[in-house]
Amino acid sequence: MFIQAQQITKQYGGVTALDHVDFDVEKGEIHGLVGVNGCGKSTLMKIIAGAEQPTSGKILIDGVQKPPYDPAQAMHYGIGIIYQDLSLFPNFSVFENICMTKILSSGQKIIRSGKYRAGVLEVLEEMGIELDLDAELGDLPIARQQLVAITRALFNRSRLVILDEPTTALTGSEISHLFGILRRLKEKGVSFVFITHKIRELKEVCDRITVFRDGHHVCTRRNNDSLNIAEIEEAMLGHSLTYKDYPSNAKDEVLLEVEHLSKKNNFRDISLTLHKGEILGIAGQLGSGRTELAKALFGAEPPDEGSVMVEGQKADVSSISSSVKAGFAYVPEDRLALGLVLAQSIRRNATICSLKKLSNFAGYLNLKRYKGLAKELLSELLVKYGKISDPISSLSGGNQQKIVIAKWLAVNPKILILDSPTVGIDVGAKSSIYDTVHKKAAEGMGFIFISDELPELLSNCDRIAVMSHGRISAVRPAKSLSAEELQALITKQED
Amino acid sequence: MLTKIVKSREFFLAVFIIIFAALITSVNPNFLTLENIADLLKSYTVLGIFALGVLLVLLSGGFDLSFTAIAQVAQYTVVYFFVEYEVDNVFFAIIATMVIGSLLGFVNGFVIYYYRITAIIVTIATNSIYIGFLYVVTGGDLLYDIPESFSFLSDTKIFPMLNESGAEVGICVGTGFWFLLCIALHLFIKHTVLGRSILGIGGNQLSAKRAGFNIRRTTIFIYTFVGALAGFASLIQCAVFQSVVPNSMVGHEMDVIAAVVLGGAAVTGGRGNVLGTFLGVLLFAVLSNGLTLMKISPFYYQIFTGAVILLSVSVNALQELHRRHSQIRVQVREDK
Repeated sequence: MFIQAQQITKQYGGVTALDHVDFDVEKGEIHGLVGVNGCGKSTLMKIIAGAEQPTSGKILIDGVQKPPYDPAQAMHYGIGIIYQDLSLFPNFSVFENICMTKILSSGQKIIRSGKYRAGVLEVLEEMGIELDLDAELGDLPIARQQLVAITRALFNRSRLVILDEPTTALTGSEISHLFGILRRLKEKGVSFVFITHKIRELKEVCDRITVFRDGHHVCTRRNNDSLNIAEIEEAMLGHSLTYKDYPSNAKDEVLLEVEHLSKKNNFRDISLTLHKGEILGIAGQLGSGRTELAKALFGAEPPDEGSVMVEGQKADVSSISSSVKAGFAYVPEDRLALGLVLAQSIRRNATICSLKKLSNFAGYLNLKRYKGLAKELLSELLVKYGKISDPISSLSGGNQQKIVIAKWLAVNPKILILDSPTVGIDVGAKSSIYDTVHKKAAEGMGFIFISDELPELLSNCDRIAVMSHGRISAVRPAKSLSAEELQALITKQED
Repeated sequence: MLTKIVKSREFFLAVFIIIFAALITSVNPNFLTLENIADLLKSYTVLGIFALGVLLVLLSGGFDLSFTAIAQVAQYTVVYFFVEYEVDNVFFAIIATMVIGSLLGFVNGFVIYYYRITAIIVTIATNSIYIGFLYVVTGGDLLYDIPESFSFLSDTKIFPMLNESGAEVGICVGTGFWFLLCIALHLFIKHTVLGRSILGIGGNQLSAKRAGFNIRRTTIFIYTFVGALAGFASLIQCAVFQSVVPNSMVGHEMDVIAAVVLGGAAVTGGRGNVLGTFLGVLLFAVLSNGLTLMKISPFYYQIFTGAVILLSVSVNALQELHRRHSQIRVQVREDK
C-alpha cells in the first residue's frame, strides 16, 4: 500500500466537504475516483497533495503516519498532482517546464539546468514517448502538454500521480495513447489516481474504482467483468435514474437539411435531415467530430463547404449572429467557460440572449419586461435559486445548466443543439431538462442532442446518428435500438 | 531553426531597420556616418533604458505608467541638492538617482502586491502623485545649473575617433551603459531564477504559485528595479540636455511602451526579450532621424510609428490565426 487516508474530515466554516472518508492507493495501481461535482473528490486530492490540511484524520505513506504536510513536502514524499489546467508555463520550453520545480526546490539562484537533461531523457524513455525538449510549450497541442505535465511529475520522482480530469480536452485517440502510457508506468510501479466523471473511461483503465457522494465514501470496487456501469452510476447519484418513455413529437415537415457539409480537419461530407419536433441524437467517441459539427452549424467555426437549409430556405451559418438569425441555438459542452458569465447575476445570464427583443428601436431596455421574462424562464425550467440578483456561480451545476438552456429557449430558436447537456449534474436536474426538451419538441422545436450516455440518447431521441472520424457512419431509429447495439455501432466504426 | 528565426519578430524588425537605413542613406549619405549614428544612439539612450524597465514589467504581466514621473523626481532632487551642496561627482549622482528611483518604485510594487490592485491603476495614481509633489515643491522652476561631472555620461566617448574637422566622435558613456544594461538584463532573464520567475508569473500566475516561485519578492523586485532604471536614465537625460525641466519626460510613457510592444513584448505578459526591445527602440530612432534627414515633416513621424506598430502586430496575429485554423481537431477518414 503506497498511501492510506483514514477517517479524513474536512470542514470549511460550517460546511463539511469530507466526512470521515477512507481512501487508499496500492503500489502500481490505477485507482479511479468518481462523483458528481462537489462530492469532495477534489478536496481529498488536495489534502493528499498537501495543498489543503484535513480538519481531522490521518495519512499514512508506506505504512508510516505523516504529520500535516505542505505541497513541497508532498513532492518529497513522492506525491505529484496534475490539475486540470496542467499548471504549466506556455512561454517556457518543454525542458524548462519539466525541471522548473526541481530548480526551485534546489535553492539555486543561477540556473544550471544542463545537468538535468539526462534525467529528463531517462524519464521520457521510461514513458516510451518522445518530446521536443526545446519547443515552446504553448506551441504544443493540449495532449502533448499533458504528457509534459506527467513527465514533470515523474521527473520529480513522484510515485503517485493524481490526474484531475485528464481526458476533458483530449480526442479519442489521444485518450487511448494516454491510457497506454499509464498502463506502462503502472507496470513499473507508479500509482495513479484518476479523477473523472466519465465512467466508461474508468472501466477501461482502472484497477479499482471509488465512488464519492456528498463528502462520503460510498464504495470501492475492483474493476472486473462483474462490475456494472449502471451500478457505479447509481452509487454516484444516490438513486438509479429511470429513463422515461417519451412519445415522439416528430412531424412530417422537414426543418433542417444539411447537405455535404465539410470542414478541413474537422468533419467531411455530413448530410442529415431534422424534422419539426424531432430529437436527433448524435453518438460517437470523443474526437469523432460531433462537437465540431455542432459548432459549425452554430457559426462558431463555420464550415468550408456544403449547404444548410432551414425550413426550405438557405441558411447562412458563416457567423454566430447569422446562424442565430437562421434559427440555431447551441448549448455548449463546457458550460462554465462558454455558456455563462460567472460573475454576473442569475437574471442577467438568463436574459443575455433576449436583450434585443426586450428593448425598443433605440436600444433602450424595457426593465419591466426584462424582469418579467427572467422570472418566467426560471419557473418554466424549475430552477432553484435564492435571489434572482445572486451571482450565477452560487447555483448548483444542474441549475446553472438549466439557465444556459433557458436563455436560448427565450429567443425561440427553431433548432436547439445540446452538446452533452447533462454531464456532471444531478438526477433531478436531468429529468427536468428532459421534460423541457420534450415539451418544446411538442411545440415544433427541433433538437440535435449530442451525448456520451447511451441510455439517455435512446430514451430521448427519435433517431440517432453515429459519427466517427469526422463522418456519419450510421443513422438508426432509436426505438429499434438497444444500448449494446448502439455501443457496437460506435466502436465498430472506430476500428 | 532557420524558419523560426525568419518568422521571428526580431528578424522582421532587423530587416525593416536595414531597408529603412538603406533608403535614408540613398537620399542622404550623412545618415551612415559614425557621428550621426552616435548622436542618434545618444538621444535614444534614455528611451532605451526606460524600455528595458518596461520590458521587465510587461514580461511579468504587469504595467507601469509612473516611471517617467519617478525619473523626474529623482532627477530634480539629485540635481538640486548636488548643486546646493556643491557635490560634483557623477558616480554619487548615479547611486543617488537610483536609490530615489528604487524607493518610489518600491511603493508601486508594495501597493500592487499587498493590495492586489491592477498595476495600471496603481501607477496612473502614483504618476500623478509623484509629479504633483514635484510641481508643488518646486513651483515648476527649471534648473540650468548642472554639475559639470554629469557630462561624463553624455560627452565622454568610449572609443573616441577624430572626424575630418578634427572633432572627437564616438559612442558616449551613457549609450555604453545602455548596451551593458541590455546584455546584463538578457543574461538575468535567461539564466537566473529571479529572471525566470518574472517570465513564469507573466506566463501563468497560478502555475507560478504552484511551482513555488516567490511571487511577492518578484513583484516588488520588478517595480523597484524599474524605478532604479528610471532614476539612472533621468541622469543621462539631464546630462544630454544640460537642464532639468520638471515635465520634460512625463507624458512620454506611451512612446516607451510602444517601442517595447513593437519589439515583440506581449501586453498580456510572458512574452518578449531584450533583443526585440532594443530593435524596437532602434527602429523608432532610425525612423525619426530618417524622416528628418529626408526632409519630411516631423508631423509624419507619429503616423509612421503608429503604422509600423500596427503592421508588425498584424503579422503575428495573422500567423496565430492561420495556426489555429489549420489545427487538426479530428482525424477525418479519407474517401475510399
